[in-house]
Amino acid sequence: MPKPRLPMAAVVTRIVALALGLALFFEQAGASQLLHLDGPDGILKTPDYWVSLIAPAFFLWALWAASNVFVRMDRGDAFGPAIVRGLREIGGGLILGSFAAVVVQPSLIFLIGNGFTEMRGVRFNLDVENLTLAIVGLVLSALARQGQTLQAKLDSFV
Amino acid sequence: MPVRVTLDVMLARRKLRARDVADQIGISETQLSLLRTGKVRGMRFGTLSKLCLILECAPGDLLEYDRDDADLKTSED
Repeated sequence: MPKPRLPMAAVVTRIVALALGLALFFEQAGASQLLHLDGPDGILKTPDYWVSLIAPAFFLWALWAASNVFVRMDRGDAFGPAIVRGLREIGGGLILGSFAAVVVQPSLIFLIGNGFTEMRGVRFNLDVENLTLAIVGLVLSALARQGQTLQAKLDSFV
Repeated sequence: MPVRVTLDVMLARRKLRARDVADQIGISETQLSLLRTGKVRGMRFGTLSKLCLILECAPGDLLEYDRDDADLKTSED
């Protein structure tokens, strides 16, 4: 049985997701560090590095979910549970990624920086980009729910 | 809802089986059954015209309306 062809939009999105993932890795780790990843002073050993990956990981997950939605749309799937789940994954990825970038990462980096000696307060990093992404994620999730309701209504017509 | 589908009556008059009609108009037997029992929100014009063609009737032969003054107050959602 021939494997179904991926739509161009899905291919482009997946390439972008992979390229961004690799770019992130190289940017954070540094090309020179790649040769001794597990060395005693390798950047991959530092907790800051792993904390800084939380938000991008969610954003990349959202990108991957977007490519899956493109595949389902190309297959001609109706606005059913699969597409709704995909849209919710995109929305969820954007919201969680933004939350991680705005609150989780600054707070964790602060805590790690002082060796967990000062446990008070929450640190924020209020970027316009991250807040916008969070709102877009919320809108996408809401639209998915709205779409599901409309599809259910449409399906109740024979 | 005061609009009733009287498909059963027309099927009996034409001596047709629901399964055959469902096959001819391209919907599932389950959907036709839901339609016959009035458990659907509505009927597409496309389905209605196919039914009329096969049963050789007019839309009014398949639908009946029981007058209810409260209909003006119900919202369409």
